[in-house]
Amino acid sequence: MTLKTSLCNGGLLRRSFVKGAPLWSLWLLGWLLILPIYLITRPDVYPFELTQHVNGCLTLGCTIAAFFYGLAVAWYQFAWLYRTRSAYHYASLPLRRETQFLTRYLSGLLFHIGPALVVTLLSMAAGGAQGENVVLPILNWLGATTLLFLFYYSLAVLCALLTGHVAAMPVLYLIANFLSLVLQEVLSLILTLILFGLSAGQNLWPTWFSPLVYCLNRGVFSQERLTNAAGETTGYLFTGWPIALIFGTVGLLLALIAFLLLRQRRMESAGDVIAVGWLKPVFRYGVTLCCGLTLGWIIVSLVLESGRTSFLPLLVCVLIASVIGFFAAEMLLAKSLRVFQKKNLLRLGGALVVITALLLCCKYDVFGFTRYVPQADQVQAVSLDSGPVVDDSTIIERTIALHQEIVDNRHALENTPGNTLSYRITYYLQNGTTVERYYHLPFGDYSDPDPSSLGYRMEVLENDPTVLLEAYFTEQAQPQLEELSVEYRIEDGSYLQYPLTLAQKETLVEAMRTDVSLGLLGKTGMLAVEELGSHLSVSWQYLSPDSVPGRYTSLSITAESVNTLKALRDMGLPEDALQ
Amino acid sequence: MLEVKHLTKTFDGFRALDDLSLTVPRGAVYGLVGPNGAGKSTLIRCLMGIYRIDAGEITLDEQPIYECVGNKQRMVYIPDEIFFEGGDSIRDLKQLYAAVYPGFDRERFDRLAAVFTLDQRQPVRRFSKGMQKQAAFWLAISCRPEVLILDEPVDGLDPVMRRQIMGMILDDVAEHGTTVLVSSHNLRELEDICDHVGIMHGGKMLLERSLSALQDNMVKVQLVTELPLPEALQVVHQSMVGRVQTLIVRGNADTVQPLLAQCHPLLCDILPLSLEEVFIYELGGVNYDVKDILM
Repeated sequence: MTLKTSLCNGGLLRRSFVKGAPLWSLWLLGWLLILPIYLITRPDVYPFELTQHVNGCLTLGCTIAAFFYGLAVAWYQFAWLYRTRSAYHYASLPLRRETQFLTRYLSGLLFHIGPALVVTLLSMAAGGAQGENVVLPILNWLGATTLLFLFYYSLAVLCALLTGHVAAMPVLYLIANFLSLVLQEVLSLILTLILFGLSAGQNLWPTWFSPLVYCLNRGVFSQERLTNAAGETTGYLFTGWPIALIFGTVGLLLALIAFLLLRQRRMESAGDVIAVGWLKPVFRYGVTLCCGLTLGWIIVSLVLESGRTSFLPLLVCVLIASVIGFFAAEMLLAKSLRVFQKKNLLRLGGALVVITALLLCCKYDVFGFTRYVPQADQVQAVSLDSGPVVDDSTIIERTIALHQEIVDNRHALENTPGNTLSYRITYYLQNGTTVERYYHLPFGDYSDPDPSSLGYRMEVLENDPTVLLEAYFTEQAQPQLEELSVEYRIEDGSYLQYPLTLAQKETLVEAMRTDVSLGLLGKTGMLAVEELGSHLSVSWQYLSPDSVPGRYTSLSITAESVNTLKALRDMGLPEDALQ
Repeated sequence: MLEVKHLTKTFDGFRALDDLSLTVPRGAVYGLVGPNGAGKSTLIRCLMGIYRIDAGEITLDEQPIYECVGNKQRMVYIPDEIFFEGGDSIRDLKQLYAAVYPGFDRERFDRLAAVFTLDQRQPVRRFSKGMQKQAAFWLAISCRPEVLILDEPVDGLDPVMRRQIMGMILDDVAEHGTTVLVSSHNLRELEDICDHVGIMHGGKMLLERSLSALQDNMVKVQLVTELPLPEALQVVHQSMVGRVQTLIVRGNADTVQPLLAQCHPLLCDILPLSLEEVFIYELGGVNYDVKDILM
C-alpha cells in the first residue's frame, strides 16, 4: 500500500489559526498601538525620534513580550496533549505525529509572523506619512522579534512535550528560564557558609542558562547612545543580530528535539507532570536537590545565627529539606499521596547519601576551590574589591602573594574573633575566564589598625598609586573637562563652585594625576586622609574613547595633595578654600 | 481483516493487555465483551494507533495501523467519552473530518441532517450526552469508514435513536462490507447485531467465536430427576428450586440430550443461552465471581 504522507494538514492549520484568533489578535493589537498607531499619531515629534521609538521597541518586543507570547502560543497549540480525551481524539485521527507537530508548530509561528508582517507594513506606511524612512528599524524589529519569538516559542513547545499537565507546562517553562539563576544564587549562599573564599551571588556557571536574564543583562536588543545631527546624545541603536541569529538557531534545535519527543510520546502520559520516562528520575532527584538547597538555606537562615563553621546543623537542615523535596516530587510523579513505599525509601536514602557526600566534599575542599590561587603567568589583570581592572605585573604578583597568604592562614582566619572587613579579589585570566574570591580579613581596631594584619595590607594594596591611577585616570575613560567643577564650603555652610577656564581645568587634572601617582591623593578606606575643613572637592564626568559620556566621580582634596593645592592656589582659589 | 497477534501493553509495569490475539473478519460485526478492567478500551486504543504497543502486532489487511495514515483513513473511532474542543460546532467538526478523512461524504452528511436533527452551528459541548453521541455518529458515518470502532456506543442514546443508528450501521455492513468492532456491556443489544464475539478477561482474550458457535457451546437445562447426574455431563453451574434443577452444561443439545437420558428425567427442557448468560458462565470459570456481582 502506498502511503501519502503530508507534512502539514491544511484543515488542521486553518482550524488552529481561526480558533486561536483571540490570542494573535491581542498580539496584533498591542503592536499596532505601539508602532504604526503611535507613529501616525505623533506629528509633532522629530523624524529622528520615530526611528528611535521603533528601535526602542526592540527591547520590549524581543525580550519580555516574546517571552510571554511564546509561552502562551505554545500552551494553546499543544494543550491537546494534556487531557486524556483530547490526546486520544487527535491521536486517533489519520494524521501522522509528524504532521500534527509540524502543522501546530507552523500555526504557532504564524501567530507571530502574520501579525508582525501586518505591523511592519503599516509601520512603514506610517513612518513614510511622517516623512521618516523607518524601513530599516522596522525590518530590524521584524527580524529580531521573529528570531526571539522562535526561540521562546520553541523552548515552550519543548516544555509542552516534556510534560503532560496543563499547569506543569508554564512552570517548567519558567524553571527552564530561571532555574539556573535561582539555583546559582541559593547554591552560592549555601556554599558561602562552608566554602572559604566563595562569595554570595558569585557566578558559578554562564548566564545563558537563563535565556531571558541573559537577554536582558546583555542588552541583546537594547540601546546604545547615539548622536543625532544636532549633536544630541539620545537614542537607540540595534546591535543584536549575531545573538538574535544564535537564539533563532537554538530555537530550531529545540523544536527538533520537541518533534522527536512527540514521535516517541505515549499518549497515556496525558495528565502526568513529567511525560517523558527518562526525565522522571531527573525530576525526582532534581527537585530533591533544589528543594534541599533552597528550603535548607531558608531553614538555616531562620535558625542559625552564623553558619560559617556550623556545618553539622547546615547539613541536617539541607537533608530535612531534601526529604521534603523528594516526597513532594514523588507525589507529583505518582499523582498520589501514598509514596512511602520501601523502594522510595531506598531511593531517598541514596539521594541523601549523595547530597551528604557533596556537602562534605565542599566542606573539606575536595575539589580544591579554597586552595586555588592562580599563577602570575595565568593572570591578565586583577581587580580588588570591584575596583579598577589593573594589568600591572607588580600589582598582580602582590595580589597573588597576599591571596596565597590568606589561603595558607585559612583556619586561623575562619576562627579569628574581632573586627573584619570584607574584600573581593577578581582575577581576569589569560584564557578569558575570571576567578573571584571573597574574604573577611582582620585588621585590628578601627582607631589603631594593625599594619601587619591581612586586612590592613589589603587596604595598602588597594590604595597603591598604580591602582588609584587606574581608578581615576584610566586610558579608557578621560575626564570630560567641560563638566569638571571645583566646589568648597563657605562660612555660611553652603557650597560654592569656583569657575575655571578649560586650560585651568587641564592643569588641575594634571596636578591631581601627579598627586595620585605619588600616593598623595585618592586614598580610601583605612588609609583615607582627612579632608580639608572647606570640604574642597573636584568632580567630573568621564568620556569613553568614542566620546560617550560615562560615570561621574569626585575627589576630596586633602592637605597631602600638595600639587593639586598649588595648582588651585595658582588659579586664584581663596586661601580659605584651601584649608 | 483486522488482526491482532500476541499484543501486550503495560502501564507502569501493570500488564493491561497480555499476549492477546484477535481476528475480526472483513464485514463482521464483532462484539467485544468483558468485565470492567478487562482491557477492552485499552485494546481499542491500541487498534486505533493511540497507544504505542509494547509487543505484538496489529494489522488491517496485513498492514500496520500505528502511524499508518492510509489505514487510519479507513477507520473511524467513537470513544466512550467523546471529545469536543471548546466552541466546536458540528459544522467545525465537519470541516476537520473532511480535512483528515479523504472519504468524507458531504452529500451523505447533508442527507443525515434529516435523521440527526441537531443544530449544526451550536457548540457541541452545549448538547446533552445523547446529542453529543448523535453528533459523533453523524460525523463517523459520513466518513464512510471501512472499519468502525465503537466503545460503549449507545450509552446515552434514546431507544429510537439507538435503533435508527444501529440500523444505519448494519445497512453499511450489508451494502459496503463495513467491519464493525463494538465494545459494550449491553449484551442483549450486542446479541442482536453481532455475528462474532470475543470475551476478554484480565487483559487476555478468553474466547473468540462466532455468536452461533458460542451459543452452541453451552446450554441451559431444566431437569427433574431422582437419579444422580451422569459424570460425563460438564456442569458449569447448578441450582435447584424445589425439585427442579437448573443446569448450565457445556455442549449443544445433540450432545447433552443422550447424557441426560441416562438419568431418566421426569422433566427435561434444553434451552439456548443468551449472550449475557454465556458471558456470565464463561467468566465464572476464570474466577470472576458472578455471585459477587449479584450481591
